[in-house]
Amino acid sequence: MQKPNIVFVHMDQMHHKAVSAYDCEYVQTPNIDRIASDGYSFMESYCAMPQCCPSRASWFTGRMSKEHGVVVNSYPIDPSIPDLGQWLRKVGYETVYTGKWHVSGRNVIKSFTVLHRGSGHGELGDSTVARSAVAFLSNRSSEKPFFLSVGFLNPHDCCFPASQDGGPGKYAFAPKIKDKLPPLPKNFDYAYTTGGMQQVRTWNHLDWRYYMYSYYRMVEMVDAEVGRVYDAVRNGPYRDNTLFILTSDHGDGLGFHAKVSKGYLEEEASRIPAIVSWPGRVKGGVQDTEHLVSGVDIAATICDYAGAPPMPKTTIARSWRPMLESRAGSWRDHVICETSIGSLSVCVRDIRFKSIIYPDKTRLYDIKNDPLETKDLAHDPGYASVKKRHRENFRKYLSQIEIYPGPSDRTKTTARKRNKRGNLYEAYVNWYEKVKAEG
Amino acid sequence: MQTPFVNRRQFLQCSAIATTLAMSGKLPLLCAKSEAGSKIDASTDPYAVKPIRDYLRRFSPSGKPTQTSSQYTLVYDIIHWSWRAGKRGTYSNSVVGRVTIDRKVTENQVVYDVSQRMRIGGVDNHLKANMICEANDWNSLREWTLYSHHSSPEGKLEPDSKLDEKGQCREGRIRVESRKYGYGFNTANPVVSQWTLLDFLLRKANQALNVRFDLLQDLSLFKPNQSLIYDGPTPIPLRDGKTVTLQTYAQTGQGVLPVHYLLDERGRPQLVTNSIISWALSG
Repeated sequence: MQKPNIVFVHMDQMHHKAVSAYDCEYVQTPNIDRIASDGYSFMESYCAMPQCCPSRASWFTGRMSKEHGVVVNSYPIDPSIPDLGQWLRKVGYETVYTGKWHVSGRNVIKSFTVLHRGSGHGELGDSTVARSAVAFLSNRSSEKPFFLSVGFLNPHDCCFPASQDGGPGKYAFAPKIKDKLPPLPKNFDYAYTTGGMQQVRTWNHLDWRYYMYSYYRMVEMVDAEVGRVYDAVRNGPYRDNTLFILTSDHGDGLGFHAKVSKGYLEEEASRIPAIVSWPGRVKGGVQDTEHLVSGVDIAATICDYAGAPPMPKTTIARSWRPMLESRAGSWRDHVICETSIGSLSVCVRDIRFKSIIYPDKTRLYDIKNDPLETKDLAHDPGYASVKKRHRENFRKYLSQIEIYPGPSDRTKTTARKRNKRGNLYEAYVNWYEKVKAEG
Repeated sequence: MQTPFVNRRQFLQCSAIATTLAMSGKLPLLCAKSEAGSKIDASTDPYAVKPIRDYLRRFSPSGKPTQTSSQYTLVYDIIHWSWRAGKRGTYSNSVVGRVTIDRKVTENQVVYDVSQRMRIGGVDNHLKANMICEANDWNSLREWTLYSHHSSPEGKLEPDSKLDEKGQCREGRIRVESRKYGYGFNTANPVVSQWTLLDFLLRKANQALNVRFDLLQDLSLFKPNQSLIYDGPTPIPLRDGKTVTLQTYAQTGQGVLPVHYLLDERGRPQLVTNSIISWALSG
């Protein structure tokens, strides 16, 4: 059988619910809605780590952040690990990239033909990135199958109005459009006043609501760009033989828990949209709430469809293909997400509960009944067995992965010179080894 | 329960302290509950020009075109907002490109020719559009062609970046086609591009303006249900120390951050501010 073309489109900082097809009433995403209608949405989907570089490195290597070495932005990838571009080239694919890459320590040009590098601003660069992808689809004449990765920035532009002076955000305009501003999330509170991010502690309600309004408009911006690429795929010569995957590297606070940005393991930052479309091959119109998936599965899924062997040392990543093609089989009963920002922590999510495990404490939520994470059950004796089970899941995870100890010559790591995270490698290695030893 | 007694002096002392703390942001619980004016923007320039605060230090209104006849050429510098490297929370503006909008009127149609260049990601990105529009208030889109490509800073064209598209808008349906694909949208409002909307403002802006339209951004991205209203005067400090007051119109709608159009006394849109990208009339 002819190998399929694969188009992997990724947004940046996309909240998992900011999609009108998923009943968000504050945003209109007709294009993502169309892809969701054509395709299969994983509703219980998490990133490998809620920050750009670590999450992206997991997409392209099939390994977790503490395996590939990109444990926070700017920490370089283990140079010995291949990425999807290099891997698919070996099995005959034309590998093409446009837009945001952001896998620190790996030059995209070594793994892909680069159409356009985009910009650090979605409003500036996303249209050009979409145009370059559409031009590629229109101009190519090669008979080889292709893997096209398209990296959009938005709604990541929300980071700029979240800066201390509001960046380019026109916050004082908010009273003029008060009737158009979304309400605050139900779990909005003022915890940020004591422990939150400096730049948002003094925001008033209207500032928060204007931030959310702006965020949703940025989602609509990227929705239009996504639609442009999707139309070129589905209404052109590649319509019948192209797998289309749409996801995001992480979410955004969007006012939930009175947070902006990412890096933490609450749902708003760690959960992501994940949709796969291939009419006639992948079941359409599905919103799957039964299967827990991760961004780390992307490489395994793409290799499966491309007929490539799994990437080296694939540990916990698995292909989504059995679910997409309605084939019976067992699936994981929990998913892991981890972070190194703020405090080291690991999320263990099963189909009902979620633990956020820190070196010195654990929080536990009943996600099915408390999706906004408002009631910590960690100290409730009635849930002790759940907490214990998640701790065992964490240990099992650590026994499966190959923990990256850091580069052999650490003086070459610019991140070590630049900031105080230099001892981060030791910090997570020590914690993980200690937890492993518990068993 | 006994009511606590507070005399007038104590009350005034407490009130003064609380007010001072709240104003300095040290009582965020009190601040946060307020829906009064934005704290973020309290000390900045008018919101309509916030994305170009740095550029305004170098700005003076353009005197061109000298007349707003039916045929004219508008030239805008494209201004980029960005963080100043290493100083989070501060900002700078740079000119990253230019757009030229040429308008001609014939018997029963209006023809626009647009040429736009923007440097993005180290390469120059070019758009060339020819639009044939209805001779109505909106100059709503009838049919068009769009050619785009990018080139190196030395001018070397990247052949695989070339893209030719054509489109038309008829009876509530937009259709866009290239050599290899096509797509469409249903529309319920007049359809304009960001380039042709300026002429609508030139001719129709007034303080009672409150209209609705659909935007076909870059002749590719459909953004329906846009609203355009008068948003009051905005004083703009000029580099010579004087101030000019521009009349401001605000666009809001699907897929756009609030856009502000700042018109001079002759109705010329001198400034158009989005968020990251803005335009300033230069000729």
